[in-house]
Amino acid sequence: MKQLIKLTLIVIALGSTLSSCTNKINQTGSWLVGYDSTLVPRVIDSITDSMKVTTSQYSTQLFTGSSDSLAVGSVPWTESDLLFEFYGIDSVYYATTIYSAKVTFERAGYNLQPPGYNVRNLRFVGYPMNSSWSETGVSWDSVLAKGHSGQNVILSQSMTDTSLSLNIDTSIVRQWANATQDTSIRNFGVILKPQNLSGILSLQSSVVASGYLPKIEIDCLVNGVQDTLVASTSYSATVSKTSIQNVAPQGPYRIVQSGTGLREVLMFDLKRIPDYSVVNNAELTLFADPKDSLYSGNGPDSLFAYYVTDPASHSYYSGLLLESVQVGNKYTFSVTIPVQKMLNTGNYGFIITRASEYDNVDSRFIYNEFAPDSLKPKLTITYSPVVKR
Amino acid sequence: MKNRILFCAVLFYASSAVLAGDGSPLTSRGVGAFSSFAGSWSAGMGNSGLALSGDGVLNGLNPATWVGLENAQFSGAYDFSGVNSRDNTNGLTSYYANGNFGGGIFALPIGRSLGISLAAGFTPYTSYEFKINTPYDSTPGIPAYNYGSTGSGGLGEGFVGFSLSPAPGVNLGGIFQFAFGRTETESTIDFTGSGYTNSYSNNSTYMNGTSGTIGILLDSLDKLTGVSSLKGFSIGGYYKFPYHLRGNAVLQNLYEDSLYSPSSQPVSGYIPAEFGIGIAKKFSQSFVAALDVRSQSFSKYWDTFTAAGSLKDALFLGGGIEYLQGRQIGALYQKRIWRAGFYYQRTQFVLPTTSGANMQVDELFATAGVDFSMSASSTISISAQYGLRGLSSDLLLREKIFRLYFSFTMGEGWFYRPEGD
Repeated sequence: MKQLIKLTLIVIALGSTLSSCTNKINQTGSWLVGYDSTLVPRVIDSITDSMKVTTSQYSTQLFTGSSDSLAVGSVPWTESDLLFEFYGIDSVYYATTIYSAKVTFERAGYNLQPPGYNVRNLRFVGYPMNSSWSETGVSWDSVLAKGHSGQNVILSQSMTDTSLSLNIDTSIVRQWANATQDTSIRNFGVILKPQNLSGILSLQSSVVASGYLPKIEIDCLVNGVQDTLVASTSYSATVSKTSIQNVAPQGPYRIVQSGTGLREVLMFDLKRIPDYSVVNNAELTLFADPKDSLYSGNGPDSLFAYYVTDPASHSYYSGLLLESVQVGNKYTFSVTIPVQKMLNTGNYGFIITRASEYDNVDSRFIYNEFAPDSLKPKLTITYSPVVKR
Repeated sequence: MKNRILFCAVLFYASSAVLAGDGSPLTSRGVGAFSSFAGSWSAGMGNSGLALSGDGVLNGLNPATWVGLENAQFSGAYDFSGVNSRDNTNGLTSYYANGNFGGGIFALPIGRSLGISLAAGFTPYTSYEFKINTPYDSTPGIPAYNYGSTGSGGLGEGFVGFSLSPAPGVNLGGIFQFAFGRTETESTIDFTGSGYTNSYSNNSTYMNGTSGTIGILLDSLDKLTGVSSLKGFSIGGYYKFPYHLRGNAVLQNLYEDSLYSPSSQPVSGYIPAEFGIGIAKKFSQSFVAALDVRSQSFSKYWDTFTAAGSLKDALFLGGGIEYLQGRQIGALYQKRIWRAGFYYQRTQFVLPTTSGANMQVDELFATAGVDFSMSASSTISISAQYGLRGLSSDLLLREKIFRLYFSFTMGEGWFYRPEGD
């Protein structure tokens, strides 16, 4: 009996030793469970055939990133209007004569000036607004709905390197002064509109440091004494409309524009990638046309890519900064995680922005799906298709 | 008795210490490779024995053979398998080995005069077991990576059954079977230092279903037929009903830092009926020969992930001899049962050939085994098999397989009234 037990133990030990010590990972027959069966990396180039533009409205509020910057002016694809309303002018009510009124804005220093354009050549008109507006929530469409008088109150203008001054019709200033005492008279401010295509001028708003606030200087006669009353309490806002004409879908470009809130969506057709695939690597490549591009030198000359999380609002996930690497006019982004998210939760495209949208109005013209093949946006994906068994 | 308990404990510990499985990437087909073998003793004689019965012989395929049991018996098995594969696509060879618990059967004769026995147990039914890791050189657009695929699991089969002998020489049996188990595939792609995200995918499929087997054994054929030349011959067979499987499959992918389950779905499957027939000839009290033929129409097999027709009909032909040494020797422990045999099987698997055509894979094995007596009704059985899977040199994958089985059968004379009562 003991011999049998010994023999049994020897056999068990032999079997276990064979299986544990001589076992080598198999490198044979991998094609039985490998290619076309389970995980395989593949590369798909240039999925650009169904790239779509989803910023269909082409209308947006001018966006300077904070309320301390305003923008007014016009370029071929964008018009930006400025709203201002001074309310600290109660003492003017007692003026018997108003000789002149001058509104001055300090320049913020960031301008959109395509080649051949100069903001110094901007000419403006100003129309009294017909109804009230607020700094928050005002938009191009809401201003359009409120309407204005259509009567220009800008008598003249002057611009220096640091400021923009507007001479205002004194009759409207008198109206504003009376409105401080008579509730039947209203002061809804003025909308300042560009008259020509000379670029977009950035100005300091009504919430900046006191030395840079917009102000109104009113030369008037009060109690028989000529005096200049200065008020720097005001409301201000900017609304704009961007009308794309030479970019997608008509032209070969897609614009990446700071300062305007204009954000187009790049969408690639990912349907050809099998469900449940694991994305090993994804790279987005964009090509820019240097012509008409603007770079102010404020902030890096790079782009960010975000993936859109809500197709209705075009909101995007901002927790993942994907900054481009630029070589010449070629921008590349590592977008492995966004593409995986798109496959898992829905493909709503990329939003491409300038690296800094707040301190400049720089622009880049990116070739779109109508460009030659070599310049089209390209999404290169290495992925591992997965079958369920 | 203490020694037996100790032995069983060692056996099961060793079984749990190693992974189960066949080891061939072919087992990735369907729910794995099917293991329809009657027991460790049968493995020594070419997996045959459908027409053999007797004490110490627990045939899991044909319940009618249980009529020969003399004592209550428990049989536990341990299997070891080593696969040496040659891949003609790349000229590589590799060796994969593993061992597993081969199942346990408890059988109880309760009416010897009518051949009534009951049995229950658990045995492996399919083996889904492979482990592959292949490096791939960099190709345009893709850096070098290692591809890994590991399969584990398979279906096990629990069963209860009976046998009876309604007439002299006519023995019948039936089994109710419940198959259940999980196949799991882990697939990985590892890029080394390339900045690429690695892939990890886990596909886990659980399925279960019920089936049944009916068996028949006609021994004493000379008496049944009146043909004296059939003396010592017996014939047996079984029919196993199809399985209709149901279950669930879950896919898990590792995306960056979290395991995500993008897919979970109900699954189903169909395992076709299986049947076999065998003959045995007892030439003397010491010498027996057996020959079996079995078939299963795997071309009808399907599951949610495997289309019908992906597998081919399987055919098995196996036979062997058994010689009892020391029958006249008084000392119990000097008795031996020697077995030898072979089997040929046209498996259900299909592989491509060097010419691009697909060919059904066949295999040929030589077998041998020996039983040692531990008591009047307890034995230890050791069997070995060695053979080739993929006999044609044109096949892209050929395997040399070595298998080692051993089982322990304990018997006790339960429910017998002691003499003199």
